[in-house]
Amino acid sequence: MNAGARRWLPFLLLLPLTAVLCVGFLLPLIQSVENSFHGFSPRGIDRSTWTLAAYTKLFDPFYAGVFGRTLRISLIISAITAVLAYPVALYVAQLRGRAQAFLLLVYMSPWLINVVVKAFGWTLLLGPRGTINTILRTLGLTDAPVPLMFNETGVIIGLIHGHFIFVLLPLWAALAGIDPNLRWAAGNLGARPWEIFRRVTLPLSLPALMAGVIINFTMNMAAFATPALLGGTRVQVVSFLAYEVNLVDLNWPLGAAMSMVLLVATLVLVVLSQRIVASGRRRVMFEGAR
Amino acid sequence: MIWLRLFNLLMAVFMLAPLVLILWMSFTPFEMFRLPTDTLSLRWYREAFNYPGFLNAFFLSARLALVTALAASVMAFLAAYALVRFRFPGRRFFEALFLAPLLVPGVVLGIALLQYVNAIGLYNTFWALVLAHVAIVTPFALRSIQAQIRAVPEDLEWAAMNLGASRLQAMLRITVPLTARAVLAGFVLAFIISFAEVTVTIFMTGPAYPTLPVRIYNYLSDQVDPTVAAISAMLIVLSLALVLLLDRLGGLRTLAK
Amino acid sequence: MALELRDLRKRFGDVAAIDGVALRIEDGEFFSLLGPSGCGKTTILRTIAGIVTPDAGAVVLGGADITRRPLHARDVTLVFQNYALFPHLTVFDNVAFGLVMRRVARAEIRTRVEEALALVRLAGLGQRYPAQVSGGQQQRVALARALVVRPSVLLLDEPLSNLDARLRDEMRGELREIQRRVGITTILVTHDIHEAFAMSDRIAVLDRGRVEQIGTPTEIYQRPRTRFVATFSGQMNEFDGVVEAVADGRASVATPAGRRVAAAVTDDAPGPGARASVMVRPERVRLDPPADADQRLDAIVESVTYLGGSIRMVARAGGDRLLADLPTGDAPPPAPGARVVLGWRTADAVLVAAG
Repeated sequence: MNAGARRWLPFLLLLPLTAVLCVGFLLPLIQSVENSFHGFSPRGIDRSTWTLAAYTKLFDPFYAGVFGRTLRISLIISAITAVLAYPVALYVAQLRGRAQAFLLLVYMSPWLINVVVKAFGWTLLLGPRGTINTILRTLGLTDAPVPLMFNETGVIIGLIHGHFIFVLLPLWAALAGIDPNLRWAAGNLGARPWEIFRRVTLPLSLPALMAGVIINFTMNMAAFATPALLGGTRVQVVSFLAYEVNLVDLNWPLGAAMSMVLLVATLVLVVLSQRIVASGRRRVMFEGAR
Repeated sequence: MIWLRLFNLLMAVFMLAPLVLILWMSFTPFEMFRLPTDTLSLRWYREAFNYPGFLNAFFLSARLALVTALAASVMAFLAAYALVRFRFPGRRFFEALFLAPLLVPGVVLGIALLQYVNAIGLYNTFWALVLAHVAIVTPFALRSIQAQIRAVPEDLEWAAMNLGASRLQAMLRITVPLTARAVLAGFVLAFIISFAEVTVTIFMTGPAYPTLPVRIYNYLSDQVDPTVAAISAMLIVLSLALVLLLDRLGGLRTLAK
Repeated sequence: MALELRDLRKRFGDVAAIDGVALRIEDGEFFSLLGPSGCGKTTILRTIAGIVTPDAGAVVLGGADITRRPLHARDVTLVFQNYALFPHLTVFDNVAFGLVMRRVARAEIRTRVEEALALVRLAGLGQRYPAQVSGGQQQRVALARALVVRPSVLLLDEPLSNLDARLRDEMRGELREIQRRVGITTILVTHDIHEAFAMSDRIAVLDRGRVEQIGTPTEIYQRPRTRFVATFSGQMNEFDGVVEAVADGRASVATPAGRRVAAAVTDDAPGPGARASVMVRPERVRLDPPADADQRLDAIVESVTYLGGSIRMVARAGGDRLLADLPTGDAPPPAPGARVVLGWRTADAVLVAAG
């Protein structure tokens, strides 16, 4: 091996994966960008014309409405998840060893199970003849079935369940990482439990919570199978609409434009969440110095 | 504290309820979704195995996951080795490229792949699915393998080369055996993710290649009988077994990071 | 085989790890690179092995320039500081590794590995894994693995630093014995002066990437040529001042306090007017000096410490503090506060330029 070979070797090792990712990832995305600026004709994509038509179409009340609904539902899910995940993380973080690992696995299990299978499980629970409605009827609480599915409620429940772990994991890591000495020190200085929580634990875990919520939000925005199976056509979200546009209407420029909007929004939010985590670290150090 | 514990119990029930319900429902003797209380039956499992649609989809998914996991773990090992052991221009670019699929929503990648594989004439082929799935699983496999290569002291490779091994021989005889567990963990993880993938696949797969999750999705969208409960129950058990295997290999820890 | 380094240079960022090192190691010699951590000694060793590529200069082995030769084709083996044994291979397979790479026939591998293991007194441990043998045994495995391929040069990177003190003493002798028997050119890197003194034919003392002095252990210890070598190789009594006169292989130095001290010098010593120090080893300082000890001082004892083989006395003579290592005899040493006369021979004092 001479110096020349040494210089080439890393690139040789990188070549297979790079080639596959170029064809299976990079080039498709680049073409998506291109397609979103092309025109649409009934025969398909019109590569000869360049236009912003696909993007302007997204401002039509119908498409804008679907985007608005997706945004709203995603926000609701993230907010509820944050409220539910905090106490869970507090509890899990103070467990030790096997108990902690086991409980984490319980919360991780929805993520490890196929999305379609999960959604099916929820239809068994939420359907008009589902377990919850059966229980309610048996207890005499309702006569007619309570609609829990094929509406926003079903989508929200299903996605809280499916994307819970993305808030829980970073939050748990942050809470478990807080030096117990800090809390004891605060207790030593006469702070009561609530004060300790408000002045030590909460500020130290807030950046992780924010980062987790943002990731959770991007996952909600892009969810496909869960809203499709639990919301149906009555609760159309962006990804479900994109499916119809791409595979039923075959309007690829419009489909590409929709995915570009989703992609840009996701990337902006991911960068934002990383900023929050980084600034959180700085702030913790700063407050520690005071 | 008691309230926290109680709340956690409720949340754990919430997490497991749909899964438990599927397992329970899969043993129903009834024609429809009614939970069995006194008699359990395996009739829907028999139905599932007699329904060629599911069976073929299962084998397709297994084959796809196997090829994906094999290709991804081997290529990720080579790439991870280059990223950990060498300093070269563009190193950060390559690392970013390999991890980027993590940031791109499935819908976006699905649409992009649908349009792209059509353009290059790969639509409705097995290899289009392999391309897609390798891109999806690579970041996960790469991270666990990278961490393990970093844990092998570089001096071991220098020692091997000092004794007459070429760089390639040092890699094959020293680094590969010492990271075999992590590569295997990467393989299992890649298999799990590929086997469960729905969103990207449903957008870009052709009619000749419905994977098992896609089949189940389509099945749920029109007719529904408890066969799907039996299939789902088997998938849950399979995932659980694979996750336990992954945990044994130490792969869950890198996942939690 | 003889090994030569020609004006070797290597920078890591702003730091010159090797700053123009030139030296020649003879065939069969046991040569040490001695210096504090960060002096560049390990980098030099890794450059010889081919792990580090120098920015300039050359490594010449038996007349052939091997500077650009890939490391696996160098015929120079290295015993790593932490041994770098392959944890997934048995002791036998570790030792056999180099032979397998050289495509030696299987039967010959077996006999040569057994020989090598016997040489380092590990016969019968071949089937164990590195984690199943002691630290000292791991060290021997690393040595056997490096020797079995019969390299032209053996490189040892702080090979004893991970062993406890007793084992280290034992291995020192054994390592030197094995080297003599095999007759291989050996380069040892160490920060331990005792290790270097005990094992080496010659030593190069290094500081900040430069060679300070090359010489036999006796030369390094008794005739250090720079302040760094003098103080790094052991304790010294120092008298700083200005050189007054140089004549007949003697130089005299005047200290600011008005004391005159003389030292034996060679031709390249600092000349009159230069700032310099006279240095004397504590064990050369005598109590109630005999007639040939021509340098004398009146001093007051400050403390006396019994060290077993010797007595360390600290005394004060005017503004100067003196260390003296005295032999333990039958008579009790003087008590603190006692007035004593201390002295040494001019020939035992050295002159070095001010740092």
